[in-house]
Amino acid sequence: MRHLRLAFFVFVAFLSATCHADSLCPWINKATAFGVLGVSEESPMASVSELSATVCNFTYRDGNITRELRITVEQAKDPEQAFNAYKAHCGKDGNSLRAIGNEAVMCATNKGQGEQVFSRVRDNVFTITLTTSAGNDPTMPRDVLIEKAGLVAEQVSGNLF
Amino acid sequence: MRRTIRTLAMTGMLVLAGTTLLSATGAQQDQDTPRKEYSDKISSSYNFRFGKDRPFIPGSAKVEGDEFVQPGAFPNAKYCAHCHQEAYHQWRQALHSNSFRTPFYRTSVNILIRTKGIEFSRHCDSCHNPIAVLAGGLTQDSHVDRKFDSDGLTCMTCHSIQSLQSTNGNGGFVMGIPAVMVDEKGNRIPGEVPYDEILKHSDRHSEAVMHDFLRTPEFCAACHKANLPDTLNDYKFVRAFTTYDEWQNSKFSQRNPLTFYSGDFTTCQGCHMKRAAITLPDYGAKNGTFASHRWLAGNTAVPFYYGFDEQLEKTIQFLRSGNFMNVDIFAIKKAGDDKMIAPLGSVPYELKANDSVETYVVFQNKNIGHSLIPEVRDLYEAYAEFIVKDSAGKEIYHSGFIKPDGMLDERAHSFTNRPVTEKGEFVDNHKVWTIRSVAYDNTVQAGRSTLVRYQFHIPANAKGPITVTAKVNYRHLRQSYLNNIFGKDHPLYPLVEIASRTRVLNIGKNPAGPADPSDNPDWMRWNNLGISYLDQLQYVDAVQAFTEVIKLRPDYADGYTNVGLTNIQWEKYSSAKGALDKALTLSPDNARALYYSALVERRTGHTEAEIADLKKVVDQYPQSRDARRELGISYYQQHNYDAAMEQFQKLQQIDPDDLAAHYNLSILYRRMGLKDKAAEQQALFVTKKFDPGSPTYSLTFLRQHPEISTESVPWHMHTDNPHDQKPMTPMAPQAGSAYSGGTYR
Repeated sequence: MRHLRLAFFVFVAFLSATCHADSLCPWINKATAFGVLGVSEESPMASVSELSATVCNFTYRDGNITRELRITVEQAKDPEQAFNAYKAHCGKDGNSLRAIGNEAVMCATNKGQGEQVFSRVRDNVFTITLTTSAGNDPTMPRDVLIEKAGLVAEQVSGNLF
Repeated sequence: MRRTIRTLAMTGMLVLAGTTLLSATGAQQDQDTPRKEYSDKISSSYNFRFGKDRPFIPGSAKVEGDEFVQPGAFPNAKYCAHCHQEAYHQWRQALHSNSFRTPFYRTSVNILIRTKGIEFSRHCDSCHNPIAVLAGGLTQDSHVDRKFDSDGLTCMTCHSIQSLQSTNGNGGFVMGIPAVMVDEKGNRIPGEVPYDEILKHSDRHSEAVMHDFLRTPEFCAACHKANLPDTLNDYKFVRAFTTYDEWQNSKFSQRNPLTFYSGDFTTCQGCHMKRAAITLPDYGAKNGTFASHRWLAGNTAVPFYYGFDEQLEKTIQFLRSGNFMNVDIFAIKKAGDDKMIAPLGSVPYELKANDSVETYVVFQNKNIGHSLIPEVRDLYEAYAEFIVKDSAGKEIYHSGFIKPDGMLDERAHSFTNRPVTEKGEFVDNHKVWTIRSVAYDNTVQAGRSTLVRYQFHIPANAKGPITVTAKVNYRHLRQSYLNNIFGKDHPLYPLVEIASRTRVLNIGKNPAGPADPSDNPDWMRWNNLGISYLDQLQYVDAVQAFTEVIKLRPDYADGYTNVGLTNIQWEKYSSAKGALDKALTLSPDNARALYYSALVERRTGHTEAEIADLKKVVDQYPQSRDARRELGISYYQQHNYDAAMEQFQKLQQIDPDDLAAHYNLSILYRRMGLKDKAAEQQALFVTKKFDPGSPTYSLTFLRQHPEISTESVPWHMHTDNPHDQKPMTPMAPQAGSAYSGGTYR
């Protein structure tokens, strides 16, 4: 019985450590991510819907409006090829971004209600997708989306260097 | 009646004073409450690894009120830009605004974060991102929105600093709660205020944001001096870089009587914040000019990476302004002939095909107020390039070339250093906490010169003239570090030629000719050679070179002093005395000659004369660290402990790291019964003193790197005929890639 109780405590301690580690996105902290979405990390409308070794997904829901920031990072065997494959998503609408990672490109997504960044830091290829569900989201017009996607890209690339 | 009126008046005044006090206190509380709430929230999950009372260690930054500050308390740069467009435009491209976000910085600080923990990065970010430090953002579970990262050192970091700590660096400032205005009573009004208020009371704006210390070198010292404390490296205090001290020891500070040359007083700001005509409206402009907020210096990598072409162009112009370095192809020596043909251009000589020629090139740090290269010189690449070509333009010898992979020729003479770990491995990724020793450091200090020797063979079939060119080139950053950051697939970063000199050597007769106007006069050329020899411990040659100076300028007291100083280092005190006496005959109050005379007098037991001379030096140069130190020692030897203590205390105010001050004060305080102060000085001495075991780490490294081992020896020869050298192919001319840094000549 005593051993069982000890094992239980060890398990709980392990679980809490794991949960604690899981609550952190390695490439951007929650305060910054939700700041980009225009909400405090403590807000009940802010949630982390997915968090793994390769994906961080931050969501803000307020009535009809949903804003989402999704970050993916993968280590590529051929990073140049992987980056070019992502870049192809932008097609000719992609704008090269100077001073993000080794190279980066940005383009609109979600029918103009979002911005995507594809970039590479050495052999790490990452994507940023920032979207809003509202057609005319007053706090996320296109220029703000672009600025915020750039800010996130800088945070992520900075942490990957 | 009168009494009643007086009582009422007094009561009224007291009520008024009380109301004012309460109102001021209320305002203070209004400001303090959100800060306290914020600070308490941050504290609840903050990693206080170094103690609850030391939240910013291992950095030195401090903040008024000793609590974390909300990042939003700092008005951002765009707010300032409304009235200061020129300043904003310059700052956005400058190093200060990019102090944190660049990959060049992030790569090394990320290694620290990943290997030791983010709390250790407070050391670096005290200067690179002070808002993150003071906001409590550098902790594992950070709840700080880092949107300010991209602004690095923003306007309101520098302009909110309220006072400076000692000149020990690592962020040695005390930050105040940012305020862009003071009220009519001089109280700081935190946060943003409406622009029209500022414009109505520009004097009160100035009072809030402009402090006299902003214009002093001591302000720059807060971050342009750094050490690695034991809290960072779990080892001991290691001095990292000392740009402020280098300035203080240079001719530009006018605080050091021992410089080889004299110059006008110039601060850091005098070179790096020069006034220039404005191109954009700025309320801070005076007579249409504004003190540059570009802080032009050597960093071409940041503007290149960000595409700040204007900043890049101005940086290159700054580096190439021709004022900083002098390159002198001073002399040649033919194999089998001991006679030095010097100074080239001023003496005739003959050369033959098949001659082996030693060339003596003197690189003078002429007008830099600090070393070449300053600060983290392990990351930079300043090097000498030496090219010999025949009459058809074919290379006969080339040292200091860039190889096809972008790496510098390993045998180049480089003005860098090589810090090593306790395993004797090069600290390649700027993992400064692993530094235990420096295998070599070939920097050229302010005002000094270095002699680099090259040997080449003139081909047997050579007929026409041989062209010899020597250059100082600079690349920010070292190629291997750029490879660490980006992998190998990055463009070539800019290579800038800072200074160069070419001479033509004829096969046959070479008559003397008129001097090039850009050359130093011959006496100075000899003097620089003497300085180089002195620093390479070649005392006979140094005395000979300085004697040539005396021949050319018998009225030049420093020529004799230089002979005297060389003899002191050579431990030939009687010879030194003769030369120094002559210098003092020519210039009786010459502080430099008096200082060295005092050292000779100490040797010969003439204590009164020694103290008298040093006092004269201190009178002329009260901030001379050397004179204060020596006078302190003189008094100590005389058992005049109060006077000795005074000198060492003053020395410590000039240089808080001076070992002699720590050592002697620990003894003196103990003698005086001041046990606590003695213990404090003793502890400082123990942690700051040189680790006698550390050179062994350097030796391990040098054994593994013979090409660098040669560089670590003061006297060494670069030759086209090394017995162990494999042929190398220099890099082809730069491809015209749109994203290439290119070469700037």
